[in-house]
Amino acid sequence: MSESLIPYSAFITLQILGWFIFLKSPKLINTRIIFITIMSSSLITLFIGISWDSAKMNALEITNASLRLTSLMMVIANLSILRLMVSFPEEKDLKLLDLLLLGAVGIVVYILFMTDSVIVGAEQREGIIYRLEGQYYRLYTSVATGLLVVSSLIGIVKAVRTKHKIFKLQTTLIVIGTALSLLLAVFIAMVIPILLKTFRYYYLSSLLGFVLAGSLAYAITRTKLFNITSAIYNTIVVVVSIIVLGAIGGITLKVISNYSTSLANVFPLSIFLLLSILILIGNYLNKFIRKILKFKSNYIETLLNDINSIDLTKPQEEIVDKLVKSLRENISSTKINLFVENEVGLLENIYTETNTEESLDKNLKVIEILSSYGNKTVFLSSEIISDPILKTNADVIQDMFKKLSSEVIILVKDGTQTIMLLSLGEKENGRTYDNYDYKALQTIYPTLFTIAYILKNLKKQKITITVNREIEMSRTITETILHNIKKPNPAELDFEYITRTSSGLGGDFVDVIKIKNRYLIVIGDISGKGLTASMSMVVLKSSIYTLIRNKLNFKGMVEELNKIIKENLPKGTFFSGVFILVDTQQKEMFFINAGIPAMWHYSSKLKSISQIQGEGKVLGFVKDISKYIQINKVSLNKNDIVVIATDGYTGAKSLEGTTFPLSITENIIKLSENKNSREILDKLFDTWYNFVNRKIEDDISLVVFKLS
Amino acid sequence: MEKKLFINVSDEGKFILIKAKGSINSYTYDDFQKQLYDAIEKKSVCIDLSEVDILSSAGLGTIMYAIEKGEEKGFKVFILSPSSVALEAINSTGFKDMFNIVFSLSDVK
Repeated sequence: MSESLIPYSAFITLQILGWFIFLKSPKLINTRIIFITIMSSSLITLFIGISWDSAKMNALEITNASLRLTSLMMVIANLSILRLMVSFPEEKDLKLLDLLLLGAVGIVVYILFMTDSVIVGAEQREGIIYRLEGQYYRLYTSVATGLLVVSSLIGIVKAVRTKHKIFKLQTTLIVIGTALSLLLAVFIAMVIPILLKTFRYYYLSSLLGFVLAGSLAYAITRTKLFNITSAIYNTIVVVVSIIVLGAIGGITLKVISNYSTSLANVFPLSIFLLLSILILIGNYLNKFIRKILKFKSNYIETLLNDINSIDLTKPQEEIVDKLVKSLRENISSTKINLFVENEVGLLENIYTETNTEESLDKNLKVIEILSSYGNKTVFLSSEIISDPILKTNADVIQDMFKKLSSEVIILVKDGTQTIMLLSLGEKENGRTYDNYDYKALQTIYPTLFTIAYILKNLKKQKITITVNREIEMSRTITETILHNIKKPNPAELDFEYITRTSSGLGGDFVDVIKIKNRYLIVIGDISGKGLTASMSMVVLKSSIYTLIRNKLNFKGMVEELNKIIKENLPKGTFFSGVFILVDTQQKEMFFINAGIPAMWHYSSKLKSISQIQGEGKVLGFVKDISKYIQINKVSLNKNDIVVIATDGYTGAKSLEGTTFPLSITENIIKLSENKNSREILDKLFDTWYNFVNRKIEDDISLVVFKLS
Repeated sequence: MEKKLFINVSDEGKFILIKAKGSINSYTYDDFQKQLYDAIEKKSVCIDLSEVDILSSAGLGTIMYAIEKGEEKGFKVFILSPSSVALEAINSTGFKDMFNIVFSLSDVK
């Protein structure tokens, strides 16, 4: 049983892998060929498992059929590899060749199932399968093996001749995988049985298909180059870690078993503890080995530190100079260009090392293509020909790369709108941008986003000062952002809010984002005033979208926002508010109080109202907020009311200097069980507004929601 | 409602005393910020908030940055006898412990 777990596990893994590859781009010919290879490899592993088990149970007829099916699948897998190597990397519809290969499969089916010339049957001796080979078995396996050899040779020739590095890499990976599976096949199916006179390790043949299909899938999904040296270094780290951890684990288990009469008594707990400790040690070990090996190519951390240390309160020229310097020093990029959205919506060139054109129209087809590519924002030139989606518009994209003399284009987007375009040219050291560079650029993306927003608005600020329209312009930006809120579906959540600023430019904001079945609601206030506060609010709001796109968890998102405020917004800026996650299906909400002064929950079940905000910590005051914040949970019932208010509301004073009594708010809420959120909000705001004699001294935000 | 802010700065030897009277909010905090930032560059600062009737987030942010700036320079920021409004604002950050609150000038060290 335990041996056949290997082929069955391989079967399931390959099935998942095969369908994953196929569904990604089902229309491409090469994808279909690879799908056939992976499926047949998967079936090889399944039939190996069945023949092994059936032989053990003495069901030799099933064993016999499984062995024949294994041989058939092996030929189909090898023929499909041959077919792939003939056309790869191009997408060639070779009907005649396909027909010939199909004919070959037909002949093989006939030979295998209508004659005994290849496989005669199977025997079981002492629980182990023994294949009874026909007179042409060796010829058959030689031809099947030959197919792989020919495929590999074609691959080698193509890898040498192609001028595209990414194809060189992909083809090399396929050749390596093919050669490895070939070696494995020879070793397991020939060397072991002939030298050791045993089929005891027959079930391991399933690894052959696994290696073959795995390498193929890995190669084809590599749309970016990777640095072989880094790969070797990383392999060393993993291997050393496994050896050390394995030794520690083994010794510990030995010690535990020596001290215990029965390992089973301590097994579950000790294994759990051991694994936890090993994972912990593994992390440190990994870092330690990287440190002593001094990986020069690992620059992500330095790059991130450099970019995060850019002082965004400085003038535009200084920010751009620092950004360019960081990219040049860490990635060795040359020919850098930077375009930022200007007041008329064009991407205006604000920095160039290639004397490129002054502005780019955001409606250019190429920018539309790149910006509509899902969440992808970093594009390497090598991907144009290797990525199935980019490939379909390769000409127009390649033109853009050529125009900017670039190897990398990064689009910084706000929603679907591109607000900054950064292009990087060839590296100073002549090396190609690889997977590691891609990862590095993705890592700094959130910071690039903040820089983009600052640069964009610095430009706007400059212009508005010139024409003496600062307030109007900034108010427009703030209002656009504030009112660009997609309210929840009223059938799920009856949600209403109001924000009022004292000067027309404020840092208060409310936002609602739907994440699967939940709503993320953010209400808060950014410290400061005027343009700075409203721009900080814009940056913060946009950062939330970026963090959600990066699939951070709830608490992780708040921690990251704290970091962004602390490191990237003007000094002394902090955010006080609350982050709420409402699950309308589970009827519960989770929240993190980041300094919201008041949050009420009216329970329709208990007919009582209570303040639930608890103690909160503002964001942006300390570097690491993780130990200060916690997630709170509240169950919600139908007609429950939740009201949230910022300090502008709770701290408001009347003309006589009396602070607004919060008991007024509580009484209104208590009497509003049967009212909708709009009615409750209007009542709350009107009462408050009259109290302060219709004079707003500080920005306020008020939110009301009920489960529908 | 009093919207003005009166600031009085005096050098007390070991520290600079900034006495604020009135509202520290979005309209008034510019001068307060300038005086505070100038002072913390030179030595420790004690801010007397006993007669402050509004301390908005803009004012709090200014003090928070001064605390940070002071730490870099090896100086401290003290808050002297904050009014109930000022104390409430400080409490609302959740980081009251990070503000050095004192109730007498002799506690400024």
